[in-house]
Amino acid sequence: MNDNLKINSVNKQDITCFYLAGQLDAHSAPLLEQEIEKAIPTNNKFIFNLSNLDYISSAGLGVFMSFIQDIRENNGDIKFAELNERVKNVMDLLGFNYIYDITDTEQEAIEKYSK
Amino acid sequence: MILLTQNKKQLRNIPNNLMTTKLNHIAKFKTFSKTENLESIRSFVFVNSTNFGFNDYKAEELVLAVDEACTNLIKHAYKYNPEDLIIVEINSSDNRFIVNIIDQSPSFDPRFVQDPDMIEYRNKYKKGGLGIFIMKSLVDSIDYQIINNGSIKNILTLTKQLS
Repeated sequence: MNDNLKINSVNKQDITCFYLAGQLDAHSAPLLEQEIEKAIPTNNKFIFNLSNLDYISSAGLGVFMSFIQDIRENNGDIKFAELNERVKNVMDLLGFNYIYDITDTEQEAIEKYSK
Repeated sequence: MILLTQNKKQLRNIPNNLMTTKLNHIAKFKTFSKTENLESIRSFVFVNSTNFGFNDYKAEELVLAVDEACTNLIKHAYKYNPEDLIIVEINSSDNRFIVNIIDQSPSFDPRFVQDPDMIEYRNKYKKGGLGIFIMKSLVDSIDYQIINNGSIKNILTLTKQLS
């Protein structure tokens, strides 16, 4: 069982906001993959609110990388909001800030979609 | 016994021949090669590294480096066979915190893996291959030994200095 990651999602207009809590590692990455796969047929604009995500490893980051190309080819995107320091450090190490919009608040990420 | 103690890059002139220095054994953790055990491995490394004197930030760097090494073992070396074993052993030498990750899979020396082209990685949205890069970025030195005493044993050594 994947009990180290909790995933909730809320649709806000045409955007799906995912709320991740816990740890995103090689153990929980498949669970996130499944949830994104379930959401993709109905939507392609995603925000990941990571305010309650305590930990991420490259296996977790790989999940986003595996979907982003298809999502962007369908005029969608993945944006990240409300990262804690620990997760931000890992994303910075891999230059995620060059690939993705990363915002301080979820509202800012929503506004970026309307621009 | 084959010993490979050559370092690909010595970041801070740390003597890498650990065989000649006195090691203090701190703790040892033995677990099966399953992704669900990564969390326990991380807790083990975090507790011991903060006890050693690292602040949370540095301890978390060590935790991530060890996680990446063990994830690679579970996925690629042991290919998710849950009966294989991973041993994480922590030693110290002066102000150096030394983590040995011991396995019995086919040997694979991560020091000789080329760093990924990060521009290409971003442009092509590459999914994997970053674990070793992360690991190298977060510790001061990496050593790899293959010990053959009838059966093969690999020891990946990650060293981080307490400054």
